[in-house]
Amino acid sequence: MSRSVADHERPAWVARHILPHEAALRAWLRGAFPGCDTDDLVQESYCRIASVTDLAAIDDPRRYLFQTARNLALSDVRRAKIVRIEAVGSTADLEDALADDRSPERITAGRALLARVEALMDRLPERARRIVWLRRIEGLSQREIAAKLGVTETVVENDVSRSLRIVMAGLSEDDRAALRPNGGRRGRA
Amino acid sequence: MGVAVDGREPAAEIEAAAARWIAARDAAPGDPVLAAAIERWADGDTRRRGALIRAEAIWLTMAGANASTEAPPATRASRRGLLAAGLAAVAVLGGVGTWIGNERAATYATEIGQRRRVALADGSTMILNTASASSVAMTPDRRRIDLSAGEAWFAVAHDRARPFIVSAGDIRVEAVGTAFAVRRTGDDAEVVVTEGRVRVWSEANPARFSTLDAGQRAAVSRATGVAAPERVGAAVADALAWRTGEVVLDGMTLGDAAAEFNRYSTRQLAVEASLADRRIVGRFRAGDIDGFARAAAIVAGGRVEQAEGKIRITR
Repeated sequence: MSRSVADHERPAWVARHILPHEAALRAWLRGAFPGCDTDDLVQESYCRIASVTDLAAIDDPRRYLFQTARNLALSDVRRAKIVRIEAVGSTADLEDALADDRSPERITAGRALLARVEALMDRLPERARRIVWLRRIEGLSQREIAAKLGVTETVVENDVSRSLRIVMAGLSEDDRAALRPNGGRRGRA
Repeated sequence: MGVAVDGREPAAEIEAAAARWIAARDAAPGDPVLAAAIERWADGDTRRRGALIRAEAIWLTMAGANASTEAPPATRASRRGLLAAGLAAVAVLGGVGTWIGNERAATYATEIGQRRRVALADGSTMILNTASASSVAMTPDRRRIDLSAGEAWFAVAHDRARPFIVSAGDIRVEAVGTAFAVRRTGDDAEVVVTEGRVRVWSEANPARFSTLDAGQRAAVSRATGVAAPERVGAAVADALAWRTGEVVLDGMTLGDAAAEFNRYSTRQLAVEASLADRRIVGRFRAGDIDGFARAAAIVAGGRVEQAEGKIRITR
């Protein structure tokens, strides 16, 4: 924990410690702050986390992510003066959502994310699918992939961009489908 | 997603752009010009930086842990990089002054003891403190202020499309619509935020930036970047009393207080070493170095001596 996170390792830190909890965060935000734009809140939360000087000092990244998003949602709510802050979105509700951390769900969050990403990759259009899997399995660079498939580097780059976009969107949608059975959490607050 | 009602860039558009940037960087890892273009894009909206790190984290997950993360050093700028550099060329505006980079700039300066309020073309206000100098360059895509010496406070007119960036040497402070002060001391600077939020970094390490909120103050070193921000709260008003020509001392040592007054005066005040540690509280006119010296001498149990254009507080 005392070891600091070098700048070039920051995205990897986010991939390991934040990304696995995004789906649960989105599900919670939708329940707790129905008037807020979840996509915006998530983007701004990532921005806050990106600007943390010492990531290694965050000893509970999941809690930090939830608290950051909640603070942003509360300032949205105050600014809009439309949505009243009720039991949901309260500190107690946040603690309640974080209490689920002790469930096996959290332990497997990283593995669940990986499985979800791979499932989304499998559903990509054929050429894009081959390209991202060549990258993943064989570790080839975009240039090497272009040579291997006999296409231009621009084609590879565009497919990488499109694939990434599709996986990003898929992960944004996840909580609506996959986590709905868990959505009853807010009723407990 | 379409157009956002409130004029904000839709989240989906930001995501799509972030994906394009990460794909481009994966194609040309280590390309410094591309990296600079990505930085410029990310600077435009706080959510962009969030989308960017999320996109990169997802790409790392997609590419797998075995994928190489070491970027080979770039030997020359890519075609895309040159294009980005071309896009960064700026319109030249009218006005007199020097140049900041490629941009024509208007310059403003104050003498020792002077204070100057400037209404900027974009509706923002700048107040220069004593012995300060700045150049201002307004372009269609950014507002750049170069603080070459001294201290200035800015009330920034809101314009999301044009970031307001203050440079103090290699140190950068960026705002969209907010109010803050920057005091430059050589290569380093101190930033105090009175409203809203700013982003602060040193060009020596641009990736290591900090966000400061209203009521926070932070020292920024060119070499090591932003120190842990300190919450000054109500003391912000004291720190910025110079805007109305005042100096507020709240337990400052006599030595530091003399240094503070010397900023505003050509006649310099010296404090005998044995008295320099005494602490003083009070509110003074910035230009009234004699009044301060008298009050300080009484508090410290010393007396004031004047000789050869210098003032000394001695026992």
